Amino acid sequence: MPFRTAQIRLVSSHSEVYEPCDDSFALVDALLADRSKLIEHKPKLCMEVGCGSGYVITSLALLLGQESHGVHYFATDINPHAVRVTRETLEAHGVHAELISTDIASGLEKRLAGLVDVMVVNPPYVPTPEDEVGREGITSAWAGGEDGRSVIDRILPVVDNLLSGKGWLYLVTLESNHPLQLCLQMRERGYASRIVLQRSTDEESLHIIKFWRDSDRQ
Amino acid sequence: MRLLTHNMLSSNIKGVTNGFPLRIEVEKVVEKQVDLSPAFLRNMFSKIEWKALVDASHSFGYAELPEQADASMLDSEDFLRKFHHALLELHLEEGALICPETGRRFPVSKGIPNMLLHEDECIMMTVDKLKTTDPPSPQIPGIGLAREKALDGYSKAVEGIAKVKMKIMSKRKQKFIIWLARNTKSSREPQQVNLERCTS
Repeated sequence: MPFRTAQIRLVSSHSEVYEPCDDSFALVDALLADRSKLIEHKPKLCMEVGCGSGYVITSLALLLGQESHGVHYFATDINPHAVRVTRETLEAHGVHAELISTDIASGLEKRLAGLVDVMVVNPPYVPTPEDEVGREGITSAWAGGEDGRSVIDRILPVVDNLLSGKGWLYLVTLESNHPLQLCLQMRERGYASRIVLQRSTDEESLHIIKFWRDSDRQ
Repeated sequence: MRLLTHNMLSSNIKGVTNGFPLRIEVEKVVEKQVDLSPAFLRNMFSKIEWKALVDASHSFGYAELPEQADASMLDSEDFLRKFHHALLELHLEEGALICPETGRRFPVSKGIPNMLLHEDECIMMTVDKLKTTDPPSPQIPGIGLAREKALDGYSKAVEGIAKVKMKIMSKRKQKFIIWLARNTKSSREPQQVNLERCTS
């Protein structure tokens, strides 16, 4: 029997919010494939940076279970429309996440440091001119600057700060983001990594990379 | 917004050193029942700033939490229930969070705090902004020029962008149409296009 993830017909939408697409599906498929490990991992706090339509955080909440299992969720997006759409998507599926309109995790970095056990990030990874980065609305869902790395390179140090000792990160990247180089950079921060899913669509080659602190023997 | 979140949020304004806890301005509080997980509460207890939680729960009109708490109290079912209620069952639906140092107001609407800062309040972004005058990135030849022209309304240039953009961000195909619609219009002109329709 397939496990439940968010259903497209229940995902809310808005003209300024990125709709679930191949990249979102790839990330959720990677989480599905890792489901038993995630449950064994017994996360207390999970978080998504850049929640968009809410498809991914809702799927994660459905995969891992809610409060009765002692799991709580946070999700942020720089686009306030996206955060409102995420709320609607969560509600339509009967799950809850604490939502904040903010840039990456600004405002949470001090007190939430070291508390997040599972982080999922589908960043704006599309290579664009730098001046498209940091624009309002839906552009923030894709504009990744040079090599699509401008925002990713800002997110990773924040994630490193927020992840707990046993924390895991699932990150969506594109071939042109140089995933190998990303893994090496995270290696320097003490993370091991593995490409858990690779998928070539008509237009792009997606890699979902899982990072974990090296001391955590899997 | 639950008080758990309030307990994790600080003012993120540049230069603020004492940004925690944020003061709460209450317009509307709602109560939602949540299953109690003793394991979660025991795990979170040491991470919670107790006084901030007590004060925040007072502002919600909930006065059952003891002023002081220590880990030994986690054995009491009564204490757990009150801790659980304050931390997870009370939501600030409408109101605001106030920076204790600057008085800056962060609105909370539909249960969502908005911590987005204006440009002069934050440290990030400046790097991105500095790069705006950079030449177009090498992997997108001609895109900078094409954009310039497009903004001036040359339809040929639009086609050029379309080709380049389709190659680069066709993954965002549905969104590309929006991008095109916007960039072919003068930025001064109000948006008239029904973007919703474009995506379907």
